[in-house]
Amino acid sequence: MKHDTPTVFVVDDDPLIRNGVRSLIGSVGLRVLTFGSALDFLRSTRPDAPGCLVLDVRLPDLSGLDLQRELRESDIHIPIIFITGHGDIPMTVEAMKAGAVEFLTKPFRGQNLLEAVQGAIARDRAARQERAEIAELRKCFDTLSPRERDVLGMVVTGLLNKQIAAELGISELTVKTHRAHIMEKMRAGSLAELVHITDRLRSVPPRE
Amino acid sequence: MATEARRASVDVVGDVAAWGAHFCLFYETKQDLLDTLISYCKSGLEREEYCLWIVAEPLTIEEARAALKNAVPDLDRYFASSRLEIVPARDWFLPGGVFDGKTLTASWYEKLASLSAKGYPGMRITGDTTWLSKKEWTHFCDYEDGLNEVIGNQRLAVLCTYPLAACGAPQILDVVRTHQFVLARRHGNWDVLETATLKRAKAELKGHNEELERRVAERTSELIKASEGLREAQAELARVTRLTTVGELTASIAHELKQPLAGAVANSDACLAWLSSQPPNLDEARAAADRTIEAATRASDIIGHIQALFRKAAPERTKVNINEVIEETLGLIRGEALRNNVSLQTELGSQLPPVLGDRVQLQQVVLNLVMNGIEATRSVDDRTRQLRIRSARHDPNQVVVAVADSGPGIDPHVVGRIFEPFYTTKPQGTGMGLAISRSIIEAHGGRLWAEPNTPRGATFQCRLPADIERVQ
Repeated sequence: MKHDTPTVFVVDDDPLIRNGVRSLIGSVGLRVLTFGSALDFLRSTRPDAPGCLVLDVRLPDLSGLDLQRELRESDIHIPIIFITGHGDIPMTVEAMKAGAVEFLTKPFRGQNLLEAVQGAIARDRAARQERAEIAELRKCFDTLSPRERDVLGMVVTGLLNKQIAAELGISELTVKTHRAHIMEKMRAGSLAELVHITDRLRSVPPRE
Repeated sequence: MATEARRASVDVVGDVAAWGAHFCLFYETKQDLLDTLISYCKSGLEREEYCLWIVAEPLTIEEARAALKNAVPDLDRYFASSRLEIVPARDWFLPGGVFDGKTLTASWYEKLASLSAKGYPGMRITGDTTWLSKKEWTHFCDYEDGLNEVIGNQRLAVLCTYPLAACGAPQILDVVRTHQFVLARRHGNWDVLETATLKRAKAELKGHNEELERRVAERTSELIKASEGLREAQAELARVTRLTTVGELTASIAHELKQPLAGAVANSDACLAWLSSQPPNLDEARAAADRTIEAATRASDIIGHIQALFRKAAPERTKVNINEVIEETLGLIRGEALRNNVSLQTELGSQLPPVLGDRVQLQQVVLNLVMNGIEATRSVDDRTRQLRIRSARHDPNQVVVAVADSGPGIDPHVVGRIFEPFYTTKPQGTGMGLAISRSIIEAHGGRLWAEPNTPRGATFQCRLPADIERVQ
């Protein structure tokens, strides 16, 4: 069962900062889990809830940037707020390109971190919502028969029933029946909605 | 010295230290002659040299022998070993009753060759000329002139004696011409006459000497100037090296400082947040305030260490715990190591005796060795970049500090040079780091050297004398 209490993960090898950040974030009622190294974080079991990761760039063993790459490659989606002693430009660019939401330079003010955390959580919540919806749509799509998928592909490109019938070598009536099933299975109220759904599905590659 | 000696007195006629001298004596009385020759021969005999005394009338062999015996009691020993020969002038100069310069010169060569073979430390010869008649004078002068060549640069001195009474001005001029210098002894008083050639030679020599002295002085002052310049350059370079190191370290130090500062700010903000929550959570606020203080203290400690490391302190000798020096230095370098992906390992010996020294200088050495180690591992990509810092007690009286890296090691061709000033293998290096480090360690009575690691890398090791009395 999913629970919706946001969780903030903090990875920093310096206990003073780790505990300071934990306290700071805890003071606004968010759940905080802290880790002394990137590996500790990777090994942990994390709740399936919206959240974000506050990550130090310089870490022993696996650096913050390494962890970011590792997460991306494992298809783990979590917004990352980097904190660093000195954010040089190339490093910042690399991190931001890889999807970091914020880059805070030490020493940073609590308010800035909290704002970044709130923003990241909201973002994660939306992203999770989006992923859930798409997963739902994918489920619907998966119930389509091969012929229905063919018809769907032609419908959304704007072909008329007559044209689709001619293309597939079936009767116009059969096309109409397929269309009705498609609309029902995909829970689309209109052609416009069906096009929109198809677009959303295409924007995310099907998961294996 | 020889010149001075000759002038001084009778005794010093003996000290004809100038080998290769062909000189003459004009004498007034028989006593003048004897005084001079006794001194000349005695001095030679005492030095284990060979002496040949060619005696002419009115002096007899017996008189010469008796006079010499007075001065040299164990004279018979010298005769027995043929170290001393006293021969009559007529036998020597006029074999067959005629003077033959060429034959005589040839016999000199022969005589000298056989004497040289015996390996005397020196040979001194004296011959009197009272037998010389006017008709032989010119020939004799030619012979005397040629003798200079015979003498050459052998360890040989030849003293020719001429009675003043028998010599007119032309003769004296001839004698002066053919000899290198002239002594005159008249009733116990000395005169030294120098020949024009000798004077010229001396003047030339003096000129050369002066020139040489001038050059030496010039060169010395150049060298002094150069070495002063070098010292200044070294001091300047040492300063620049420090600054460069500071520059390199700035990022590391900044990171070290920003860390506790970030901790202080985060915890202060957390403290404020807990205080203003409804109701205020005082326990959380207090915990955050405690961490703030801890963070601020840590920042201040770091500043203290940096100051200790870079202040210009006069060298002092205090009891230094080398492990503390290592740990303080590593505290500063940790960020740099992390940035370079170098894993720092320490193996610090327990209960090490203290070292008597200058803490700041020792920190500089450790810093330098560790920075070098980190740089050495930069080229390593296929294995762990590792730096091992070890301290241990080496026999009861020494403390050893070793910094071992997993870098490519030191090229054996340059291993002998790496401690030389200005020698560097790094594009930005000044070549002073190791030179200064070694001089610091040596000033502490220790040693600093490098050796290869197995399977690769290098170890820089220094040994420092322990302050033993204090530990017991």
